[in-house]
Amino acid sequence: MTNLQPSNCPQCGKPIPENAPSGLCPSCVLAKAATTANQTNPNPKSPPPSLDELASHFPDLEILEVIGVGGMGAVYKARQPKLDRFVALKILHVHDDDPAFEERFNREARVLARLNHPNIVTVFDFGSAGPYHFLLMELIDGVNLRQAMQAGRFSSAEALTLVQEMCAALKSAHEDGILHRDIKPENILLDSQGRLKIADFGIAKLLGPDEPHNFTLTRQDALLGSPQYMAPEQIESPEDVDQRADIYSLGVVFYELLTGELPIGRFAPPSAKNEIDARIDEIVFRTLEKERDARFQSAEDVSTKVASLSQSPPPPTNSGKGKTARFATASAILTGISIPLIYFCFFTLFSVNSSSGPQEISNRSENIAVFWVRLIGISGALLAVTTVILGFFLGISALSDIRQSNGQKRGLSRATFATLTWPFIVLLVIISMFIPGPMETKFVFLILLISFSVICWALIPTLRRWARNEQSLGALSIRFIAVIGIPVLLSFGVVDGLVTEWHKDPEPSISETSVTAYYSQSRELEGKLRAARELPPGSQRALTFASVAEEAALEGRLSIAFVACQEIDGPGQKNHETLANTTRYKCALILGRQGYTSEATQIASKISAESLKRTALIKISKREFDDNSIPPPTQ
Amino acid sequence: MNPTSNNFHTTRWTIVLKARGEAPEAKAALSDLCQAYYTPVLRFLQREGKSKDEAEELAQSFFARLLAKNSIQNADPQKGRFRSYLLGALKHFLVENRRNQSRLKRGGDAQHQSLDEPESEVSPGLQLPDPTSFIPDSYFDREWALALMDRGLQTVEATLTKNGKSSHFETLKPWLMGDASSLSQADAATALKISPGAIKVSIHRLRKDFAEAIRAEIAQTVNTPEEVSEELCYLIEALSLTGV
Repeated sequence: MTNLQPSNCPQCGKPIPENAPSGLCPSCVLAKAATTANQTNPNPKSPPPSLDELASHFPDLEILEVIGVGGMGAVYKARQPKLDRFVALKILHVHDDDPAFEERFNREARVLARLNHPNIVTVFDFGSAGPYHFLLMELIDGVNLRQAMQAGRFSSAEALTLVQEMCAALKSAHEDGILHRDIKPENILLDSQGRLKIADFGIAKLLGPDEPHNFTLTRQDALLGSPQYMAPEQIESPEDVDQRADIYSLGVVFYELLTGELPIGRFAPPSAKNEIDARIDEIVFRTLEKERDARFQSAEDVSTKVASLSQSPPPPTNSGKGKTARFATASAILTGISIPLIYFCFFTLFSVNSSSGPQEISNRSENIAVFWVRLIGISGALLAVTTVILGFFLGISALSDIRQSNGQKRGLSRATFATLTWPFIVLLVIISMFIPGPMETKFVFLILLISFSVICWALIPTLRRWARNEQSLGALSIRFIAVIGIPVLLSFGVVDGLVTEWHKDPEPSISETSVTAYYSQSRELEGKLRAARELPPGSQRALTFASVAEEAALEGRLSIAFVACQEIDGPGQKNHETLANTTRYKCALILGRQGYTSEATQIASKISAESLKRTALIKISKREFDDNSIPPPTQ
Repeated sequence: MNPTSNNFHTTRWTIVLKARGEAPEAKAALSDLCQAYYTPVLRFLQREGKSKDEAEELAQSFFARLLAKNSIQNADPQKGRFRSYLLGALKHFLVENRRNQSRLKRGGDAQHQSLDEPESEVSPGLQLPDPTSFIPDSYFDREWALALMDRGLQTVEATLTKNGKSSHFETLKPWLMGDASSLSQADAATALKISPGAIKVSIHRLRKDFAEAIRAEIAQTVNTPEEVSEELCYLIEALSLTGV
């Protein structure tokens, strides 16, 4: 009496007493025994003939026991001593008032005895003995499918195997022109090796009178009663059935194997009840079509379709609509939100810093505004960082979930997006630090690279599904628009903002100054430029522009230097060409010395005096900047 | 096969009742029954506060006296079940035993264990001088149910072992409780080296055999076929009372 079981009963959850025999929960064991017993005789109304009574009519048989009693008759286990084998003796339940029975019985039974298939119970003999009509059949040492289902649910793989075997049996019988007409779990046997055998082929027809109105009567008598497994046309006009009626009954059994329920009313697809390959739904539904023309036309068709399932791997099941998919979606959304959020915070904080120039924080109200902007910026940054981290970890948990389901669950692409986006962006930012050139170039490069990667990443799986004909063109284009449109819109905002900034103040390099200093200095120079524009035309205006240009050139503010030079001999400043030329010459050399060779050449080429221009260009190309003096103008 | 079928009249308790304990086969039948339900009696006595040795000794003398005497004459064939008869007799025996012990304390004749006198006057189990001094009947019924279950299990295990399938019982017995077992049928199938379809056949058969064994066991202790289901339900109820 070893106590191998856990101390609590897995069935009722109550503790198992320590002296319980075999460590089993006594309540459950006895309760189960109470419900198991006496299932063999569900129809005590018409008791089967006793063993002694039968023995006198079957001298060649040793009749041993009753195996089962049903609407069709009683089945006995018997032994044929001559052949030393066990057989099943079926005593048919015959209606006394059916005159045509004798003839039909002989005709049909002869056909049945011809059936020979490993998945069909073989009929050895038939005939009548005394008052009884009997069939002598192969004895199956096992249980029927009803009992097997009570002993435990079948997995979908087991169900598919059983359906294959049923199809094989039906195909063979249908080819011989024999319909079963009463496929139900009670008629499907499993022997002790687990092999499937269909019993009672054609017995329904053999017993059922030919006239349809009589059939209705017998149904009321529950003689042939298993209407829940019958095809609609079999119930309505039983005389006009073909093999597709058996296909329907097979579908009912199939559905019951998968779900444990009967497909009554508006029944759910099997995959909604269990974790089943969703492609099975389609097969089950097609066997259960109310219109027989819409059904599978033969058992072989069903079998082929079922076989094709086991050959190709199952696609992601509907179970992907569960927690994991939602996790993956949430993580992707969070990551998606975090990108603009981070961008927004970055620029909010910068604008606060850059506006903190000494001349701008002049009054209290602006101070408060700066405080608020900074507060928004900081809280936004906190929110953004939280979103990034949350999205990242949700993505990772979704990924591990998907892995545990062996890739069955959906949401892989969303989870990948959430997990990889930020590490990828950080990597790109690090790479961009090594790219020479101004900040804007790096930024545009970064955005373009990210957008490109996102587009590739998001579209390739969609295109693949489309190519495999799993997705329609409509779904593809929606995704296309979403995937391309969103980055385009996003980058529109980003690039547009950048471009405006650039046009307003298109200074090239800030490599050696901080961003803050860069902004405040350019504002200062801009202010000076604006102030110079306010001046009336004349030499004062020209000289101011010239000094701004030189200062800008020294600071490396190319565009300001350009504009300032332009303004020296601009409209209404006709007589200041010489000053403009010398300023351009100086600026060109200053820029050239700083390394802005192309900019220096550009500004030098604007010099209207040819000789001065040539000198400047030669100096820039030869990088001779030691002589700062301006050569005298040569005519 | 089915204990409720027509061969019911041959069960032990009916033989005992019919013969009123007189015939030799009735004695043998009673002896078998007592042997089968020795454990509940022993556990009941232990529960009474007796030590293991003491309880064993008492149980021995109880059964010895039960078998020696024609006490069965007093059992009512109409409504008696062996379980209630045995419990009644046991209680009666304990009352007698106490009386004797106190008599011994008072210096009475130690040799003369006069258990017989009241037996001839009253039916056992019907009149109890002090019912409150006993532990509840449900305890005895519980132990009875356990003994019954053990006998059922032994029967199916013996059958399987005889067929060379001793490992089947060990592997499949959790399914006797129902389907909620945490064990997987596929694992069991692998362990027994049979197919998943065959495992369902085996489980079904084990359950059926066990149910039949239990009913056959119960049938031995009741008087009419109708009582089998009744008794089984009664015992399931007794088990669900957690008066341990």
